[in-house]
Amino acid sequence: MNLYLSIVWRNLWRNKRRSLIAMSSVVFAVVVALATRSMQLGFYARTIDNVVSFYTGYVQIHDRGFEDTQSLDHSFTHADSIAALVEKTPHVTFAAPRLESFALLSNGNVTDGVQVVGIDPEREDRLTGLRAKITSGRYLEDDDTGMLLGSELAAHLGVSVGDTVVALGAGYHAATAADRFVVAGTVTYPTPELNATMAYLALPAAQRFYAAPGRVTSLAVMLDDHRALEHAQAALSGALGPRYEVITWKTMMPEMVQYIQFDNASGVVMLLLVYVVIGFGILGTVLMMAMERTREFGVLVAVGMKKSMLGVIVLLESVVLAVLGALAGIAAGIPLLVYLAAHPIPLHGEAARAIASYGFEPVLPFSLEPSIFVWQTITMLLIAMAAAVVPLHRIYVLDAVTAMRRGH
Amino acid sequence: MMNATRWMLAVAGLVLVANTLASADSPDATEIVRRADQHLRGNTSYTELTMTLVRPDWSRELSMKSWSKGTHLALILVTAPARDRGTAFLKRGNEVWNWVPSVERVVKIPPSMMSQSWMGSDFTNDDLVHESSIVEDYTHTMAGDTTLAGRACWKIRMVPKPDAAVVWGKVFIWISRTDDLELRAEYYDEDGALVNVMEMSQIKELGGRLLPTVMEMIPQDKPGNKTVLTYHAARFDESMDDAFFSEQTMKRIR
Amino acid sequence: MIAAIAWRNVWRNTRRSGVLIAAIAFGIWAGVFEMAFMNGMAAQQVEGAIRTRLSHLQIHARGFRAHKDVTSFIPDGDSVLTAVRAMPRVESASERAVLSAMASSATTSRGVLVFGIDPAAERTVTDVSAHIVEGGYFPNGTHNAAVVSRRLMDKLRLRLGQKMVITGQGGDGAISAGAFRIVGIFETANLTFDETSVFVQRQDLARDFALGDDVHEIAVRLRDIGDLHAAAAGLRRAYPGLDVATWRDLSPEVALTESSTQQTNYIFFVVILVSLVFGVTNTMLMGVLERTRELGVVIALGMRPGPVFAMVLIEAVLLSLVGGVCGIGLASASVALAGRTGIDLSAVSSGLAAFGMETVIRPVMPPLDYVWVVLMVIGTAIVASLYPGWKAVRLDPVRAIRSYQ
Repeated sequence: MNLYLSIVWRNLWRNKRRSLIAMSSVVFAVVVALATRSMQLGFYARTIDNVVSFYTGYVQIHDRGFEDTQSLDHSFTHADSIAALVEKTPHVTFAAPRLESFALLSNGNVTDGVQVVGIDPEREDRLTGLRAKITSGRYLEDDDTGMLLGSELAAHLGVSVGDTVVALGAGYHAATAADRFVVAGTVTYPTPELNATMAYLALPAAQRFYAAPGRVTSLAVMLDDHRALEHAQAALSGALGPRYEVITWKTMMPEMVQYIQFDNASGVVMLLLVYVVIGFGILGTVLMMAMERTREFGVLVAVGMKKSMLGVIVLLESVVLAVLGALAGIAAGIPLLVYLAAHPIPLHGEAARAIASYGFEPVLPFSLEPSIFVWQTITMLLIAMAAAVVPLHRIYVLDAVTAMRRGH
Repeated sequence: MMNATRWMLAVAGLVLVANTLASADSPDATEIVRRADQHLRGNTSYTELTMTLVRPDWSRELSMKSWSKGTHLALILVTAPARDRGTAFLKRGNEVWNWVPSVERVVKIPPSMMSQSWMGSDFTNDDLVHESSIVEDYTHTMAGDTTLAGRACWKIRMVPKPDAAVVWGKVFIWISRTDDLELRAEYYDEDGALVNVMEMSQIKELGGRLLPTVMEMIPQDKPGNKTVLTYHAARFDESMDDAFFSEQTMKRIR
Repeated sequence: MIAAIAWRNVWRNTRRSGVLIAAIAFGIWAGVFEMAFMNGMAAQQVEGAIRTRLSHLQIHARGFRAHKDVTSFIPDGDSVLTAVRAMPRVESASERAVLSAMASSATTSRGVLVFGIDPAAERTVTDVSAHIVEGGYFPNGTHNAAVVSRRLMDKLRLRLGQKMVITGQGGDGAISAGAFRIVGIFETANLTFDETSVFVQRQDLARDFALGDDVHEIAVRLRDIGDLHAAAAGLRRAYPGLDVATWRDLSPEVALTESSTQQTNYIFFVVILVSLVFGVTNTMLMGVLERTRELGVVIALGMRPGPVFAMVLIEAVLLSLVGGVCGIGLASASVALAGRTGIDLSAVSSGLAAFGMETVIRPVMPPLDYVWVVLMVIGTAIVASLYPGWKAVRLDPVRAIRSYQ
């Protein structure tokens, strides 16, 4: 084997130019495959992140029964200690508590039935970017007594910042919920329906309003990695026990799951097409090399080298070139992807504006998931080695005499 | 979602007024229902009652006073617990206003909140206003005689008329033969599944009339849930001006 | 002359050129087909959304879209409708009364939007009638009939022929209710639309909810969607007091998918082209190195660097064009074929359906886009031949002529 390897090594060095071209085709293939998949997975992760940042978070924790009833009676206490427990779970970045229910908002003769949600202002902003959606007035403080209104809702009620609205509803355990709130600010979502139906209070104010001191209806949990979803769900269910329901965004937004799955599937199709195009490129290079070496092979066979031995040498050459190329590809790919992950490609035009209007950054993000490097490199290696079958075939059908006669 | 007018009237203390003119041997179903219903019309009532919300792991009592006149006018005042004292609801025809003393505001309940629970009970806001008549909106047929709480009863099958705004597929009610008291009602969907049961019990004399003083509304799809109305005092046929049922009254009445 | 030499060079090593041409043809085919597929999907989604629920334009009183106030009628709606129908760009229009209401069954209730429509006029604008899966779309003479989606029926636990009670605030401000019997069940690709829409006949809704002859919404279908902005501008001029919304205004989500499809298309095509650049560079480099001696000779004979470079570049362009044209030919044929038969993606249909798409995708490619593809292929060839061309120009004729091979 050592003999083979030294022959292979000498062969490769003897024709440096040819070896470099062959290797560079693999390097290039690996870099393109890495970049493509990294872009896809980055985009995929970003899409999920955007979707869950719209409202739900990756995971929500409720009292069992809240899902069916959406009632304050299925709220729970000790949100802080539960949140602390939740935040100790691996992959959980933070949990945002909410107290959600319906109430009437009224000003003058106008009354609207809306969702009045108690939030932890800082955490809510971290989750949904609510602060950036403020279009007039100010955002909420932790112990704020003011209310944020959807802009359409404020317009409909005929109130602006500084005005007072009356809120009425049913509180915890059927208590009457009634209070007046000063409008602290208005928020604007890209969809008019949300603008007309959402109102926010700081959590303590909402708890007073709904007569639910210390209670929340849900904890919206953010993760650092969308792939850890099921894992985190299981860990949270285990840690919290059967009193609590831990549901994922996939349950809350089934359409989005299907859409993202579809998006990913079309990404895989795209990746396959890229493989085939790259495969053709490598095949072309290998084919040309094989043709170039027809005479050399002919001479070797004529002086008595066994075709099988020649085949092994040529195959080993391909393997060495492919491995070296793949390693060089990773070496070139890592800094490229690290750079792109840190500096996502900005999008332009109408799509970018549309994405931005949803409060999302219009960029093409790249992922640095380690599995990308493993799988793309392995795939490219396999493609490169499959391409090596071409010279083997050539050796197999080789006729030494005609081969030697062929010149260029 | 239950027979709404009757719920409102039930809260208002007029569940069923004893009919001493009942005749035991005239089994015309519509006529029996009409008799049971007739006394509600044009009369006034004042009642004091407790509404108990029973849930699997908690329950809550609300004390109320209520006034009603006919089926179109009613006023309900919450007297306890302290947090809710003074809260009042006014129904005039199809509309409901809510007075909340802590914010000193009258708010008309908007259509979008109609499906929300009324005061956390098994009734919705819609139940307060949804007008339907057990006489006009249904066709009635006799479905047999039974005995309920020691009283001989007509069991009457009521099927909503095609255009009636009634969600039920059919309703059975039990009316006592001797005193025309409605003692039980079962509400079915169009597939024939039982959805709600209303049970009346504790027949006593109140305000000079024989009445079931406890009414339980039991939704069949929520085990452990029910709403119980218990009447403590009642006065009937006092004169009440239509103008009594006004926002002004709601604000000042105690 | 140089082009002729380049053309001859292309065919000197038929196998090598053949492999590259095949690679380019395949790459272009793949790129174009994927683009056409994505286009088809976006078009389907947009057209589907327009056809079933959005229509091209909608007219409302200002504020109605956000708040659905029952008294926000379009002032003198009938004459607006008549005037809109008379506009040359307008194919058809229908008026609707829209009631934000509660739909109840015996067991449960849900918030819905009830559309009081004139079925005959509505058919000319939207095609919910074509999405009936059970029963019919307001068969003649049905009274207080409702057409409701399968999904809403399941939520309310109702079946065809059963009734639902609609409760809402009528035009007179009073809360009213009406019983409607389900005569037809529809199913469209949009979950939200299905779960929140109830269709009834306008006269029934008007009677139960005191709406008179007033309407809240006029939906407009144009002869040509290309006239969208002109038509919207015309309506806004004619009715400055009304809210004229295009389908893009009505559904920013659909508009978003449409534009992000284009973005994805560009990215994909660029990846394909980048992959091809390498193949072309490699082949040309091989060609140049293989012909070192020959190039050395022509340079020694006095050929200027410009023409030498041009020769390499033109060879690359010709190669790529042959491949590109083959690819485009294949692509246009398969796009046409797939466009006729459609590609069924029912395996992921629930996802597609949820996003407002049909499961059968018909790829489309605007003819003008083929021109762009050709230009991009030429551009790719030029980029790819820069290095081999430079190599050729930099040859030292003396050493080149001496070199073996």
